[in-house]
Amino acid sequence: MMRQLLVFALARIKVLKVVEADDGVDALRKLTTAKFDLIITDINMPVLDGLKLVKKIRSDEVHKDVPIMIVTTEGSAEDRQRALQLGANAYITKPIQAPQVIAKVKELLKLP
Amino acid sequence: MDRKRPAKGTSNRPPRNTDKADLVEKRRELLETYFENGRQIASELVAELDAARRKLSELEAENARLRMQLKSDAAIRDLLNKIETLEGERRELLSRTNEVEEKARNEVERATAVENELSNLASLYVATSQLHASLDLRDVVATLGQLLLQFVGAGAYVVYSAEGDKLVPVATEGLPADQVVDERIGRGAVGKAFESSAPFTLAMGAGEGPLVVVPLRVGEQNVGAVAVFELLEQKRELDVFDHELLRMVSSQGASALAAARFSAAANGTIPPWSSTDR
Repeated sequence: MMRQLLVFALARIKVLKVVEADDGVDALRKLTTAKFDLIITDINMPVLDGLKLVKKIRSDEVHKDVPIMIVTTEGSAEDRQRALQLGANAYITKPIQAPQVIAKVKELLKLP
Repeated sequence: MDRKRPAKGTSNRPPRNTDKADLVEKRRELLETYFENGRQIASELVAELDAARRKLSELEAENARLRMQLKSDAAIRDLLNKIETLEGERRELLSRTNEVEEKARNEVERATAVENELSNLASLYVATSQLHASLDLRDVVATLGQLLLQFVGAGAYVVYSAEGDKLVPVATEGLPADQVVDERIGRGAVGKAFESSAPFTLAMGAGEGPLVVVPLRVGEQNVGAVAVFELLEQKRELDVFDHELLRMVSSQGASALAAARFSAAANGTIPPWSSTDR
């Protein structure tokens, strides 16, 4: 459900092409098929959670420097701290507002 | 004619040589005096002429300076006029700039409001479409829960189904098991709010009860209720858009649940159009 809303929000940035993944493992698989400019992930996901995904991406030679944005219901300072320590670049808590997501994505991608 | 008499004490005797010499001397002295005086007068006249020339020169210089001053004053007056005109233009430009800035601010505010409204509508669209995306009861209940968690920001909630005179929990999140119990219709915060005709009831005052209760209503029939007991840590309060979401949950959530229950009762098959009583 949140994915749909994110896709809607990201569609407002015309230059983006969005690729969706069902979970962390699916995301890793898709990361092998192309070079991405930004990765947005939840923390609570089946099979491979978002924090483990961040860790794996940061150890991947191709995508280790790609900005990662976490969108999650986990709003505690500890969760945020942990995600940022693992290498996430931005941390947004749900419920989200599309303008907030758009602004953060533009900031990470250095878009006008 | 007057006959000149000799001066007193003089005689008519012819001048002697000494007298002649005296006269010559006197004449010479007289001439010298005369020329000396003339020289002095000439010298004084020359000095005065020089002084007059200097004065004239000074006056001409003064005159030239005054003429320059006059020109300069005129130039200053022109410049002052120009400055005044430019100041007027500057004030007008500033005024126009302020107007344009005000308009720009209003436009930005309107654009932000439109963006927020669009975002809210998108959320409502996504939530509604997801609620009706499946006829599987578990999917619908799960979607309802995700909607409460991710869109409303409910950290602890219970979804109840109306069963006889009770409200039976069918889904929950964030609450200890002993707090998730049946509720009697017409009693307690949940039971009373269930019977209310309002799309949702916000809790009044502090307590352990729910923050908000949303009756799930299809037409005139209440099929269940949703009670939110806690919001997520980052969600401080329910805002106007959350109220819209709760209204949507009350109607669309109820019809999605009812459809899923009908579908479950019919073993997931949709009866043919001809068999339905239209």
